[in-house]
Amino acid sequence: MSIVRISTLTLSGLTLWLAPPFVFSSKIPLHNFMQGAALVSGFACCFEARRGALILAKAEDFETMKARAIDADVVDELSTSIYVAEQQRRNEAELLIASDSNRELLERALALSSEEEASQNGQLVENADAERLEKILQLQARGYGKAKIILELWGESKGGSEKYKAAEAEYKRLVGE
Amino acid sequence: MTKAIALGNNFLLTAIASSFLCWLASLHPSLLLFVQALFALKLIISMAAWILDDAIVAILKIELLQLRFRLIASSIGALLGIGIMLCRL
Repeated sequence: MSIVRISTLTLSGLTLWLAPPFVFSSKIPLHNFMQGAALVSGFACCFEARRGALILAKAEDFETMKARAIDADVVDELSTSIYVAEQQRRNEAELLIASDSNRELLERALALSSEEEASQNGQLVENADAERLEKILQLQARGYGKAKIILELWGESKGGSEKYKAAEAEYKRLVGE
Repeated sequence: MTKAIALGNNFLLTAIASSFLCWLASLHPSLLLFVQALFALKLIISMAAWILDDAIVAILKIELLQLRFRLIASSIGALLGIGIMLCRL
């Protein structure tokens, strides 16, 4: 039952209640009977309108409840998906942090090994220098001169070549001249 | 909106019913007595409801304000229905 029909029935009931007493005379029997009939009709119209209005109100309440339930479902679904997405992001972030720490650890390990290698290289160089200095000292003890020692250890004969000059500089550095 | 229409129709039903009773009373003197008795009964019930409103609220499980509204509306409707029939041609 639509609202228009309910309104029409209500207006009809109101008209059937108010109009006859002022239109028909109570002294004429037919008019008097018509008044009674109009009142009964008006009562029936109002009764039907009331019944329809109550049914419509109930249907509207049901629709409102349905809409609220749908809204609540949508909100629940959205919040669930947001929660799941947030958890996924958190897990990804934790994994990323974990991989970062691994990377950091690897970098630290690499840096440590590089330092060790550098120190080892330095030690090797120092050892080579020491060996060479020891040989120089042994040759000097035998009475060898600078040019002969350079020829013996570096294989460069005396002259103006670049290689001899470098060997001479190395000799001077080792001897401390 | 529909609830307001239903309440309005309740009021109209009360008024039309009292008008119909007045019309019945105008048909025969014995019916007049019967209708007077009915209105007296309605008056007694309304007054009892006003006095025993707390108990009625508990039984009907409605709010006190709602009960008072219904009592006032039914009284006004009944008086309006009687008034309309007394003022007729």
